[in-house]
Amino acid sequence: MPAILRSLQRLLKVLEDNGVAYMVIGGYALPFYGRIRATVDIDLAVAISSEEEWNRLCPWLQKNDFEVTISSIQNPLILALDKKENVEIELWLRPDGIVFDGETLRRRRKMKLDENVEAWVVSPEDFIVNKLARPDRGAVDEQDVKSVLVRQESKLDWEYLKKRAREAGILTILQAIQAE
Amino acid sequence: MSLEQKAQVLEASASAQCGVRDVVRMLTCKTSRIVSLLKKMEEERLIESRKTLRSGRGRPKKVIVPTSLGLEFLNAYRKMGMMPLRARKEDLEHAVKDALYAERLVAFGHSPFKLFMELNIIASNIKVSSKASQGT
Repeated sequence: MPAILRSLQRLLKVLEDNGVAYMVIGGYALPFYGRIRATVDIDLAVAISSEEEWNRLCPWLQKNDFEVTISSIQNPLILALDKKENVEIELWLRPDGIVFDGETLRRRRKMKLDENVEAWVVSPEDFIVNKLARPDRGAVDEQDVKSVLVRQESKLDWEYLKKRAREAGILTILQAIQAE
Repeated sequence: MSLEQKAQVLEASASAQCGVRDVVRMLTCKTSRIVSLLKKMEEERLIESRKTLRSGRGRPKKVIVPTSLGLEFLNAYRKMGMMPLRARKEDLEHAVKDALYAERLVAFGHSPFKLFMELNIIASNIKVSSKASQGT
């Protein structure tokens, strides 16, 4: 198993053991819904909203060889460095455009990453919103979204997608990509 | 200074802790231009700068925070749909081809995630060996 999956497997176990809801977002979610392209970043959205929750989780991460670089939930992004595998995983407390509510969590999907690794993956609709709501959105993100729109065309919940896109202020861009 | 640049600064500062250096990296402009853009935006009361406490040593970091007027500006900007597409028509056509290719692989029983991991390993090996050859 590649180091990154071994690392992810350990991290997911820590999250699950501590009852922290999470989902894989970004490049590692893309092959399930859109095109297949290489990426370095591994991003996880984690549903932690209070200092208490974070303070409870932090020692468990450290106990499992994850060094946390920024230790405050004021940051939308926390980096967890796996010292054992030398892998860095980005933990998003406030992923761009995603409202971390019950509906988002209900819509995430359990996917097989390897024979022994299963993980919750963001829904294709929230994947699209997250990609387009990035402040540093680039051509690659728009290409990713286009590939998801093509592969998932008949399977997307358009009503939900439009609602979330409107809330995130990216409906016009989404429509422009769809029309191209 | 374009409206788009102002919106980019506001987008970045609204979603994450963002300092002047982050803005320079994001807008890929001369630092002096960015400094004058931020100064102008402060005068227009779109942003304000605040000092944050650091856990380690060093001076407190100055971060840019959007004001309520700045957030209103950002919302209006988004609504007007003034953010152009970054991708060209050809880029999106390429993405369509990639998606259809992935779809065919799935139809032939391949696991898209397994293929993605294989591709990632190849890409990472190329990166490592090119770094090593640069070092010699």
